[in-house]
Amino acid sequence: MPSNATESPVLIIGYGNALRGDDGAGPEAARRLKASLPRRWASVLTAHQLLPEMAEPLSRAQWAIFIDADCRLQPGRIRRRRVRIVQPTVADAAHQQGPEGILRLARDLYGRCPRALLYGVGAASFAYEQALSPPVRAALPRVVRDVMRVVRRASAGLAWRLPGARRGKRECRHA
Amino acid sequence: MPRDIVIDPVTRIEGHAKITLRLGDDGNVTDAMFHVTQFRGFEKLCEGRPLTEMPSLMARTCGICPVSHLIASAKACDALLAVAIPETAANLRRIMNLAQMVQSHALSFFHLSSPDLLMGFDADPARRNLFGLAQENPQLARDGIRLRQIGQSIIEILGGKKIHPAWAVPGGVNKPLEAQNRDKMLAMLPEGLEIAQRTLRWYKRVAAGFGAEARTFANFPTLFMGLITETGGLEHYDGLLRLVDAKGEIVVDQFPPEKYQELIAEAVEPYSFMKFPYFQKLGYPRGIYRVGPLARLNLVDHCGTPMADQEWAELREIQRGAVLGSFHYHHARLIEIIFGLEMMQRLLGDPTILDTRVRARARPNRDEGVGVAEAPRGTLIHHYRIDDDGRMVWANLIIATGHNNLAMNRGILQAAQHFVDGKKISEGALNRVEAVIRCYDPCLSCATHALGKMPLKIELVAADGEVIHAVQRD
Repeated sequence: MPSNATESPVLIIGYGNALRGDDGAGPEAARRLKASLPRRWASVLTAHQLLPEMAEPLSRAQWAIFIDADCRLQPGRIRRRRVRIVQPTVADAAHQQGPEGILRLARDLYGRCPRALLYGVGAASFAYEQALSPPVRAALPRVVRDVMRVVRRASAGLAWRLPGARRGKRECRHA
Repeated sequence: MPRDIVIDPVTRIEGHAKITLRLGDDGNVTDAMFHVTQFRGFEKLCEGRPLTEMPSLMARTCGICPVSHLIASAKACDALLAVAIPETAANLRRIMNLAQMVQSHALSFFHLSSPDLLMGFDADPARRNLFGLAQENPQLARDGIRLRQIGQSIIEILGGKKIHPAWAVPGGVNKPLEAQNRDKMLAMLPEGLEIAQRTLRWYKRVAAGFGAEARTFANFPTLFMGLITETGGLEHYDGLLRLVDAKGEIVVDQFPPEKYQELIAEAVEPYSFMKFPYFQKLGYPRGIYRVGPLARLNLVDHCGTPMADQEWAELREIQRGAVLGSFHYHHARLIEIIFGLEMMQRLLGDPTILDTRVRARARPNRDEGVGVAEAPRGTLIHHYRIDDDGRMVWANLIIATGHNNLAMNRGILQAAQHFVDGKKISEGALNRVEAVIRCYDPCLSCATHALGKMPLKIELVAADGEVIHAVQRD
């Protein structure tokens, strides 16, 4: 992880395997965002999966945005939710971490973690292919637009307001 | 009468493994098998591909040690081109290989094994993982993360990305090193050394409390194999093969690695997709040998860097001859991290590392080529044959973990006979059997790099074939 991964207030992490069809939705969205967003607003990472090493740059960000494919959603549907730290189960600790686990590591190891959002993109296929399915292709511009709107507000120092969320409510304790 | 257990692979991905313990009439463990139930098939899928694609293609074998495959494959392709690559290119590849060793050893030690060492093998599995580590000893967890960052950053600076860099190419590397990137790498190394030394001091303190594990975790006489320099020093990129026996006496020395087939043959067993390489002279399965960090430190005459040499001498004091207990792989791993960081400092400090001539260009000039390097887990062999157009017609890969297959199987038997009482498996016993495998840091694609626990199933089977007890982790 480059040490300058979070010079910006927002850290965006798009993750998934680009060789498994729609699982590449997160990295593809991240690539588009990287091309569009000024570095002073957001740093962008792409990854196959979330790794413990990401806890450190996350701890330096004020806001984090995760983007991932979601097989539980209708293809092309987008779900945005706040990420809250939870106690990891044995299964969580066994093989891979979700955003909750990485944020927990950021808090436990570095004393703080950012407020975080997860964008889930409903996936149609995880076949061995590099192309995204039509519904996911159609959904990505909406994801990018929404993330950019959130980043602009965050960079302008405006409260990060979400439907149903109280203004200024923090998702985890900041040390 | 013990009978065979039919194994259906649970899955062919994600490195699921299974261990079977067989009981005799008296209820004691009489046999143990470590089943690798996945199949990759890279040797077949590369057929027909041009040799120029091989390094990048083969790097995809693994997400944890792609650099090892990249390097071994590039060396096999160098042999096919029949070129001696520029010295600077060889040293750049050497640096990347060492950087990978640092990050991979750090993953194994800090993320996977240190929870056992910190909290004990009988600790609650809900705590015995990276999250528990972060709460119990955040400094140790941060150190592991930082060492991984340092290794991965060096790989990224050299190759453009941390995983699957397409940088080593047949004939050398595709880009020379710029001074500012050299300086970035050099700036990280002192902190890495400080972390590695601090961790080694911590390890030595806690390891003293694991006497039973050190005695019973795959502690038996075998051969050890690895690459050495011409002067018997530690070598991970190039060099010649040496084998030593359990007494530490040299069995084979200065052996050209491209002739590995004169030393090693490969067997298969119906219960595992992983091959069983063995030392030909002793036959199968007597020709058991081990590779990897402990093997390398058992067979060298010295490491070749000051701090690592000092620690190596102390490690070798554990036992006269070779250090046989596989528990000490953890110790060896930490010494190799120190060596890797020191050696990178030395290589990057040489002004010739900035030389811009880093690639020899040629057409294929041989039909057959072998590339051998030391991966974090041990000796990695890529052996290719091509047709007149430079397309792959045959490949054989001997992965480091494969060399250790016989030793892992025998090791779990030893640990099971010591810790399993024949009636019921406790969680602690299960974890110890698993931890024997973890000592070798096996790379069955990436799944055995589980955080805390790998997917695992252990069965106790009575002499009449009845499954007495089964414990499964998904």
